[in-house]
Amino acid sequence: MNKITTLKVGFPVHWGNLIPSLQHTGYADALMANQFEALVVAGTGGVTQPLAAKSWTVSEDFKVFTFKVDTERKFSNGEQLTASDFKRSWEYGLTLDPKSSNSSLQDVMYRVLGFENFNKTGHLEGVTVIDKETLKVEFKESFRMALNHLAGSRMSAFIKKDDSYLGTGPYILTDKDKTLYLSRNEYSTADVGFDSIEIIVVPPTEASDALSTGLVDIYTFAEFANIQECFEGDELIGCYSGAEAQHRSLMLNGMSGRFFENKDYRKAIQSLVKKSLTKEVLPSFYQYNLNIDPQIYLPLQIGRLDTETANMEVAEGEKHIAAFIAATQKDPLYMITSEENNWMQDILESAGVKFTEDSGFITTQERVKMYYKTHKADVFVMAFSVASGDPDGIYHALGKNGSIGSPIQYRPSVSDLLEEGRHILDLKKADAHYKRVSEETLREVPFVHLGFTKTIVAYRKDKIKVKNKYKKRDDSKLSIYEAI
Amino acid sequence: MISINKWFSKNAKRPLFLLGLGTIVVQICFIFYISIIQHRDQSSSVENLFTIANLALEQKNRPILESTFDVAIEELGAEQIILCKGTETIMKLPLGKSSCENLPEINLFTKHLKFSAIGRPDYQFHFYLPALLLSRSYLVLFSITFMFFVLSILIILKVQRRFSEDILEPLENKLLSDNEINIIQLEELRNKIKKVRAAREKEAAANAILEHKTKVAHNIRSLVQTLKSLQSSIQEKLSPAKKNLFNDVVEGIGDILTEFSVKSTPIKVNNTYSTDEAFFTNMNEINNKRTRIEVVDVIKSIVKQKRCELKSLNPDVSISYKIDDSVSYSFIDVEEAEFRSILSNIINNSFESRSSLANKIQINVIKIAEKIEIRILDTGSGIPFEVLKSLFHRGTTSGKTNGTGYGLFHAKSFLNSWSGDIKVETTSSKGTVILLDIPCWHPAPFVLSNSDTVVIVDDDQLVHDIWKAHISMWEKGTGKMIISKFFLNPVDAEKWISNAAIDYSQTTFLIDNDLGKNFESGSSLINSLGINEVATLVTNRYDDKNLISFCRLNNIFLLPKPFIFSTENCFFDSSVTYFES
Repeated sequence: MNKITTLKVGFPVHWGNLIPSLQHTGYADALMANQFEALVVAGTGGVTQPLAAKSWTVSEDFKVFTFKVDTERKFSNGEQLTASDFKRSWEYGLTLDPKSSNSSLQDVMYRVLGFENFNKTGHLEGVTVIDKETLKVEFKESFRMALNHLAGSRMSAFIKKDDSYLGTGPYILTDKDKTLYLSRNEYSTADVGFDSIEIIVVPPTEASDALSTGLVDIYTFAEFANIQECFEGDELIGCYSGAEAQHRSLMLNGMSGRFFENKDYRKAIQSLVKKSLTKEVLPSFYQYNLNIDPQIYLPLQIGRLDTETANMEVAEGEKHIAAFIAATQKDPLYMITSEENNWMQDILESAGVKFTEDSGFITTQERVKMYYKTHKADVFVMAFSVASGDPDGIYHALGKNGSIGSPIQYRPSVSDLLEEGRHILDLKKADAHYKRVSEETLREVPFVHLGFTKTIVAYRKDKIKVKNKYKKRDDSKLSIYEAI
Repeated sequence: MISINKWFSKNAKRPLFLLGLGTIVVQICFIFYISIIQHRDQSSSVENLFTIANLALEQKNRPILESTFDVAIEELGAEQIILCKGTETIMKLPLGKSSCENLPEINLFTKHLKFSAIGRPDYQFHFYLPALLLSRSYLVLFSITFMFFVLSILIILKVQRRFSEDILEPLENKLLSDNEINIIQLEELRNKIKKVRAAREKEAAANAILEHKTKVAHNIRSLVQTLKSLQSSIQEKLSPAKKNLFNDVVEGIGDILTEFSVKSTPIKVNNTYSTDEAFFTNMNEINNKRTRIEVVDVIKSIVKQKRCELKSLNPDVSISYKIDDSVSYSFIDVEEAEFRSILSNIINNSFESRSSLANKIQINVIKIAEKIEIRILDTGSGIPFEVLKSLFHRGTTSGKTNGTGYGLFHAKSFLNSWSGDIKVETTSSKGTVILLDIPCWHPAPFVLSNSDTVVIVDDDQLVHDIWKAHISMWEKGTGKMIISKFFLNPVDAEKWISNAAIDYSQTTFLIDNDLGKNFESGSSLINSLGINEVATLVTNRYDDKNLISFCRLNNIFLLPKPFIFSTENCFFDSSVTYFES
């Protein structure tokens, strides 16, 4: 077989807008990571690694972070990267209307010194360009996980040229005719396997066929697709996977006037799911890749409760199940899902829960809009990224200023605890605190946590070679693939 | 003896097989050793990782745990790592069906390392690693070695087959044929064998000829014996001249037979056997049988013989001779029978080249500058020019009716070996002159010094006087004195020689062979006194074959007596250098 020169990638959903500052979905983040580079990147085990910054220093009180920017890097128009590009990009990002409920930069920027005056001044006082390569970021208070949150495409530096956004990453993204084209950034020194990449949307149910027929060479976010070859073993299709990367949950709309404003109902559905959701009832593709777990923190992660304590919290809702089910008879639940197979609805229906007729699959765009803006549904079957390591990683979903937070699952007590946790510098004290976060989450139920799924990329073994064996949780770079 | 196949097995296949086997065994042992080392290193690395993982477990530090799992997969090639708490799967990497309830199966290719967390035995780490750690390069090396081994065996088999086709088959079928072989060494071998075969064939032919000649000689010898037995009765009826001729003929036949026997002995020259050729090419050996013959005697004898022989064929033939006085008492040192044969053949040639019935043959002999020149003149038809060019080459005939061309080549070869020569002096339609020249034989001079002693033993006073004259001439010429002793009686000589204190290095003995009826011969006397090295036997019987043989055997110098009468100087001064003839 001839060596392929253009990598064809399958994507489960349309990626939406590709403006770094507006990044609010994991899909867009995965794609933009190939064009835009933040100061740092999350590595294995939550270890933050340099990216556009060569090095940094952190003050003892975790308030001041000083970065040395790698000025050797260049944007795709040849302009040199400087420290001021980050300040400009972040300040620009804060001026945009967010696609999510909060600005995508908010969960970091709100803690920067002078953020309150930004609307007036248009500048972030706490972000200072010392010289061409030195950037200082000063926070109002100690911020243990600041580095971790400064990763991600939304925190990248970019140049806006007309309607285009230019980055320092190895590729240039061009969205055209429902296909996303990645072409080589000739000014990037990154070692890439393909100079040309084409990304198309392939529904998860069609992923396996798309790989077999050669429509695509790799399929990202394969954890959403039903690719049995990953578990059965196959001569043609291989799977590249890593640690748990997605929370699977049922987002419960607890806004005022809504069904799940009632805390007892939330606890009831959480308890009902715990009882009903077993490995045997899971769809086949989830049987091996969904670790059923009601807790928000992974086993052995700081904040993880012992099983007995967690189970006891969940069991508290059992006494409300009957009332909950009865209530759904009168007021059926409107559930939306991003998967064509609404298996969760089937499980709950079999337990007696009633749903509206229009419950089911809607497109990603519709779902995002509903989740962040219109808040129509009662239950959103959704997945969101697992943060690497630190328990503060859940902030982006549950924090007051969380970048992907929505009013539907905002729970003040949980949010306050998370806010408080950000001040903790001593990890020995963190565990006890974040255990309280876990408990509070189980009590307030912003969502029913179904479990965790591993990140998977499925690929054609006869065409593609993957440089690594273990997929990093946050690694979405397409430069790790080579043609055979 | 072994077959080619067994030879190949012994010298090629077996050593190669053993070498290949040895190499593979060494490689296997090495790979096995490396594998053990790698396994040990891998297990050690896993233990180190477990230590870190254990610490992370203690600290509830999931990121570090994930890092250890990452390292195990990326660096150690772990196929699966599972952290179990009882049957509950806490962590598992990578994606797969296995869990703490359904642990992966272990087989030959998978190694399972299990560790219980220190202080927390309910937690267990399961590492599943590949059992075969050999890097691809080892396997490639092994495969290449094995492939070369197999290829070498195949090449040997091919070489064996080609050897049969290119070497053995020509050896069997072409080595004895006239067809050229493409292999250089085989072709050289074929040529050698061809030469040996040719030589053997020649030898066989020579032996066949020899056998035939021996038979012929034997038959002739028988006839000669018969003739000899009838000799006396025949001779009674012959005139004196014819009686002598008859004796000469019978003796001549006997001499020829004797020489025939000598020549018939196969002589191996240059690894070839040939009677005539060896005779011609090995003159040194043949010329050991040379004798000194008086020219006049042998010419006369031959002429008589040829007259008798050729007149029976052509009564009109005239054979005469003319011998110059200078030839008197001249000797030539030749092999007598050959010399006779040469002259006989030349006379035959002259006879056979006649163009008319009238044919005159004359032999003129003269001595010029110590050379005997013998001219055989005939009135024959002459030798054609085209024959003349290669006349003395083998195979060229001079025009005889039944000529083989062998005689003149024979003559020239022998004459050259005697320092002489033969040529056609003139030839025309009126006749031919063949010239032979042979150097005169002179004995090595008796070199004397002052006060030397010369001892003469001869029963003839005349001989004593001749010797005295020679001595006197020498003393006058040199102005020196020698001591001379003369004995007429051999008994007195023997007594004196035995008792006197003789310095043999300064004494020359000249002893006559015929010392009277009542005394032993001079040759016996010399031998009995042991003075062979310093004595000369002086005799008229210089052509006596038995005497010649005796002298040769006993290393006694033989001097024809007529010589001392013919020459003026028998003695020379030791202080003067002479050219010895």
